[in-house]
Parts: sequence; C-alpha cells; structure tokens
Amino acid sequence: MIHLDNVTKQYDLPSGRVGEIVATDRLTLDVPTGEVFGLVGPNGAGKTTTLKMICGLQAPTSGRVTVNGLDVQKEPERAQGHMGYLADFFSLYDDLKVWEYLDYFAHAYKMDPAVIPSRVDEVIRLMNLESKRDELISGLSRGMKQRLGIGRAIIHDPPLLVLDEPAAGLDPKARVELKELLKSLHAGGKTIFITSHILADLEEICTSIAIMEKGRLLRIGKLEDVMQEGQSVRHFRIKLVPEGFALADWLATRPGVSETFAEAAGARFSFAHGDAELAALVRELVAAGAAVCAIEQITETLERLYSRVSSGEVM
Amino acid sequence: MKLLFDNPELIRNARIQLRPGRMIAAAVICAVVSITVWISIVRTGSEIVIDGMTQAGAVFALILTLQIAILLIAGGIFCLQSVHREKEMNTFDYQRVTRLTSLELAIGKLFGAPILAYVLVLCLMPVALTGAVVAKLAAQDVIMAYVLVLLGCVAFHALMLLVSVLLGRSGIAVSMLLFLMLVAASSTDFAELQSPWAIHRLNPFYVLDLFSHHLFVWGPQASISFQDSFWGVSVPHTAVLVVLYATFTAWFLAAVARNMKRDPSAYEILPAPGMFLFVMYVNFLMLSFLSWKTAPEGEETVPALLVLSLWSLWLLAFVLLRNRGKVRGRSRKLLGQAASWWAALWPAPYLALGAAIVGGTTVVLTAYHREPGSYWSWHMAAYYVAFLIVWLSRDALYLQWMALRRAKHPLGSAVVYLAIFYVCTSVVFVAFDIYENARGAAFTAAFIPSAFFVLNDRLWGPAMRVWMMPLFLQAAAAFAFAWLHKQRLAEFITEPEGRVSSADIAQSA
Repeated sequence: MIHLDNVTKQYDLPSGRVGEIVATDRLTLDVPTGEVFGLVGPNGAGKTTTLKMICGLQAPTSGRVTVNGLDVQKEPERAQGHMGYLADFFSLYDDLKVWEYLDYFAHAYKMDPAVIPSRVDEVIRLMNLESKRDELISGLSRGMKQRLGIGRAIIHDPPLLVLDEPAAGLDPKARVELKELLKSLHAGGKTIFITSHILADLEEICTSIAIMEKGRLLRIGKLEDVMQEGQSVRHFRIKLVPEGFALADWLATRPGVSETFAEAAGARFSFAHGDAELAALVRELVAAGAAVCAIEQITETLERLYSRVSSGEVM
Repeated sequence: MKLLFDNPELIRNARIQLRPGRMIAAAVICAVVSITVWISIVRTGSEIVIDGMTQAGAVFALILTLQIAILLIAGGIFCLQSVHREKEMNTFDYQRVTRLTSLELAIGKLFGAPILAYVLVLCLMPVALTGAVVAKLAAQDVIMAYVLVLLGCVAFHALMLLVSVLLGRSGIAVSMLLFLMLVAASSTDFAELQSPWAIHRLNPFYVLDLFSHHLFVWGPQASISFQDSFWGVSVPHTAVLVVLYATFTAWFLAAVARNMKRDPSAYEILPAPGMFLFVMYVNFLMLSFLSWKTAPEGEETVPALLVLSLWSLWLLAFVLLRNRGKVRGRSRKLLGQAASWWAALWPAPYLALGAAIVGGTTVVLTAYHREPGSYWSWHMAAYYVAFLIVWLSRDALYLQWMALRRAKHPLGSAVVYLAIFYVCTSVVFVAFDIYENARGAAFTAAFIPSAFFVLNDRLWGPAMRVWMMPLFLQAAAAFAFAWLHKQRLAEFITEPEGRVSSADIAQSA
C-alpha cells in the first residue's frame, strides 16, 4: 500500500542556527495492504515529516513515495484519493455544522453526489455523532471533534488511513473509544499508518511496527517479530524478604544468568536456560539462605522494547 | 461554470459566511445605509446638487462608491486572510490532501472568501439602481460600470489571494497596509498628472469617472469616454481596463494555482520562463502606454525609462533566486551538473535577456520618437543597456551567492549589505566630488549605477573609452560572484557538514 524508497527530507535549522535538519535519512519502508502500521519515536524523530510526505504535503528532498502504486509527487490528487489523513492537532471549521463538514469533504474528495447524503449519515452514525448532526462543530467536546476528524478521514472510504497522534489529548474514555474505532476500521479492511506516543495503545492495535529515531528506522517488522527480538533470554525478577542477602552478586556467578540489576528488595536478571534450570537455580538460592518471597517473569512490552532499543541496550 | 458554481470550497465559504443571522444583519445594515443616503441627499436636499435628477445621480454615485469600497477593500482583505487563516487554524493541510485541484481551490477561495462583500453589494443594489433609473442614466453605462467593478475587484482579489498563499504565519498586517497603498496608488490618473504614461485610473474607482469628474455634479448626459494612448493610438480606457483586469487575473490565478497545493518550502510564484514572460508583459504595457510628449527629454530618455523598468527586473531577479531548499533538492537530482558553470550563473541569463529586450526596445523607441535635432548617440544608448545588463547580473549573482549561506535570513541580510554598500560608496563619492569629471564619474560606475544618473553627452564624448572600464569591472565582479556561487553549489553535492537530526533539535529545545 505504502512504499518509501530511500526518502530523505532535509532542511535548514530554524532560528538562524548553523546546520541542517535531517528529518528522514534515506528511509525505505513498505506497508502492505491490511496492516495497522505503528511508527514510534521521540519528538523530532521524523514521524510527522514521514506522514506528511506520504500524504504529499511535503516534498522529499530526494527519494520516492508511492501509495497504492501512485507516485505521490507526480500524481498527488489521484494518490490522495486513496488516503484519509488526520493531523496531530485539532483543526476543524468551528462555524460549520457536523453534517456540513463531512459533506464538504465528501465533495472535495469528488464522491458521487448521489451517494454523499447517505455516506455522510453513515459516517455520522459510525462516529456515534447522530445527536450532534445539526450542531455547530464549535459545540463539540474534544473527543467528539477527534471522532469527527476521523470521520472526515474516512468519508470517501479510502483504503489507507494516515493518522498522526490521534489519541493525543483525549481522556481515557475517548481513547478506549478511539481504539475500538480503529480496530473496527481495520477489521473493515483499512490499512492504517499511525503514530502515537501511547505505546500501550499501539501494542494493542498494531500488526506491524517501526521504531524511528533521528530520521532513521531502528526496528521494523511484524509486531510479534519485533517484540521477539532479543528474546533468546527471558527476564525475571526475584523478591526477597529484606535481610541483607546480596542477591545480584550471587546471581551473577550462576550459569545462564546475565544482565543482573540489584533492586530494593531483590534483583532482576536475564536467564538463558529452560524451566528445569530455573527451578534448580531457585532451589540453590533457597539453600544459600535467601528468603525468597516471589519470582516473576518480566514480559516484554512495546514500551520496554522501545526504551531498550532507544537507549542502545538492544542493538 | 462547474468550476464556479459546483465548487465545494465556494459552498463551504458560503455556508460559513451566509448564515441566516449574518444575512439578516447585512440586509438591515444595507437598508439603513440606503435609506440614510436617500433621505440625506434627495429628501432633505443637498447644497451641492441642483435638481432632483442630479440628486438621484448623486445617490447612485455615493452607493456605487460604497459598493466599490466594500467589494475592493473588504473583499481584498478577506482574500488576503483566506489561506493565511487556514494555515493558522491548521486546516489548510486537510484541503491540500483532498482531490480538489489547485485551480478548484483557488477559484473557490477567490469567490468564496469575499462572498459576504458580494452580498453586501447586492443588498445595496436596489437603491443604486433606483438612483440610476431616476437619474435616467444609460443602462449600458450602468451595466458596464458594474462589469468593470466586478472584473477589477476580481483582479485585485486574485493578487491578494496570491499574497495569502505565499505568506508565512506572519506579515498579514504589512500586507494589508501594502494592499491599501496599492489601491491608493492605482487611483492615480496618470493621464491627467503629466506623468510619462497616458493612461487613466487603474482601479475600479475609475467607473465613477465614467459618469462625471465630480461625484456630486451629475447629469444623464455627463458620461465621458476616457481615452488612453496605446502606441500613440487612442483607445477607450474601459476596453483597456477589461483587458488589463482579465490578463492580470489570469497571471495571478496561474501563480495561485501553481502554489496552492505545493510544499510551502518549495513555493515559487511562477516557473522561471513564466515569470520572465510576466515581467516582459508588464514592461510591454509600460512602453505601450508611454506618452512620448511627457517623457524625459533628450539624452535623459533612455536611462530614465530604464530606471522605470528596474522594479520589474528586480522582481524577476528576486523571484528567480533559489533558496537552500531548492538548491538541495536540485543538487540531489542533478549531482555533478548542479555545480556546473551554467548553474553558477543562475539567474543572470534570464535577467540579461530581460534587460536586453527591455533596453533594446527602449532604445529603438527613443530613437524613433526623439525630437529632431536633439542630441542622440547610438553608442551611449547601447552603453546604458549594456550597463543595465552587467549591473543587474552582478547584483543578482551576489544575492544568489549570499542567499545560500547558512543564516537566519540570508537573503534579507544580503540585501541589507548591498544597501549599506551603495549608501557608503555614494557618500564617499559625493564627499570627494568625484562625479564632476568624466574619469571620476566613470570610476564611480564601477561600483554603483551612477551611469544612469550622471552620464550625459558632456561626460560621454571626451571619455567614451574610459566608460568601458566600469563595464569590465562590473563584469569581472559578476564573474567572481558566479565563481563563489559555484563553490557554494559544490558544497551541496558533497555530504554537508554540521548536519544534525531533528531529534537533536527537539532535545536541545
């Protein structure tokens, strides 16, 4: 669906500082049809620039972006007909009514005028905004405005949705609703390209993920594959009744144990062997006089993976 | 017509601006204004009108003035704000990602942004037409007046829309001020001012002159046919305005459509050949309506006319200058060729060609129109043109080189340095009284464009060869700036130094 081929976006530093920003540095990626593709990275990593180049809002300094086989630079209007875009800020026409807003974009996307009224009503229903249909947008809550924004993005039923921080500024209830909405859109066959700082949400809805920093991709692939990376060892945490046992030092001398970190009442460590060896390790620990009160496996989350990749812990 | 009447952007503007509440308010205000004007002029009588018919004409004229002011000024400001406001609200990107073409968006905004002004004009129409009918004004004159007002306002609106597209997030106040100054300047009746041009008022307020020279001295037979001089041939000003409004609207709309959906970092008013043609068209108009009777006399004609053309040639130079973003993209595409000598001369070839065409035409026309017996030297005339070409090229190449520096406002500071250079050298030359003799005056021309102001037959005759020196020096300076430009272009091909990622900026911010 989306193909970025060696895309670089470079521009000068703002505020008269000497140097150039490399927002994206020879970026190459493919997003197949039907994926929910999450792009993760710190502020300034180049995520929004990447999204804008996909939408044809910014021209790459070099490289090529295609959407559904259409070159976004050469055939912007045709390519844009295949995508819906939501920016990372709230920006609606407050003086329009909800149905007028959707009607405007339906016409702007050159839908068949005969189907526009029914499509507008369908999207209003889908976005759960029936009661606000004839109200001015200025009177909507933030969550409603965000839903309306997504409604605008899908009004022409594009196969691709490009969403930049769609959950930013939403309350927990609105975030849950948004997640459900995105899941249902994905189930309906949409390809979704999404950025977010709320990694737990991305982990829940994404099928593929890329971690971006300083304009470059550090990781890319299916969510489970990326999460599996560096998982040849398992991570555990052992808690002791506090009594002065130097657990981290003791663990460091055991076979199969690595990356030990002392904690307030115990330690965490990586373990390369299987369950039987783990059981033996615990037995040895108890025999050595440690008052073990808990042992737990630390499961990998996107948040942890991101911080490890980002800090260079996992290369 | 589909572009206009089935335009989603126009409909959106109409929906926002023409809510029933606003429409009622507009209608009430217009009704109050209409009644007030009618009563104050017709019922109570005015000292400066003579009879009922004239009073009705005065009502028409006053309402027409109001209509023009509303449509031209308020409509222009609405257009100026249209895209700028969308950018501020962050809604512009959503329009840019739709399937609307740039031209559809441009037309939608051109007629949609000032739609409230159009409604106000329509609301004032009943009283204006009543006044025209009672005053027994010719229907075709009234229709022509409104057609001219409409065409003129659309041309001004298109220019303001272009400014709105090109503006960043600031500069709206300055643009409004410049717009008002442009309206005021275009109100000048050049034909009556003994200016070099034989052309009447250029903005829609001219239609008031169609009926009378004075607003309140009125009569059904007072309609005057204003004539302009086009290559010495008398042509109706109304027809001239129709052509001017139509052509300038087309130019401005082309520029708006070119940039509407473009990446803001790559804005370019028109492509280089298009901008060149536009400047040639403007110069063609300036020469076409030149009044040779009031043009500067004798040997001063050529330099005086070239100085009048300068602003358009500078406009061409500034539009053609490439910023770092454009050069960066270009160098990635062209690699080795991006730093060739041909690239290093940019934008001098366009400027040289433009100056040669404008200068050559000016010289030929001056020779044809000059007074018999007046001093004339083909050599000196050719020298002026050559000087213009070399001088413009030198400064344009300097600006192009400086514009590629890494600085906050590289082009702005380059212009400031250039201005300081001109002021300082001029002060020194004046202080040393160096203009008085031929050699001294020629020496100054190597630095500043003094040749246009001090060169005359007295200084030219005895030192013709000496005057070649500044030409060669300016050409050498132009070459030096081209070489420096070439060096800078080469930097773009190699991996830039001091490159940082956006993440570093975000962290340090």
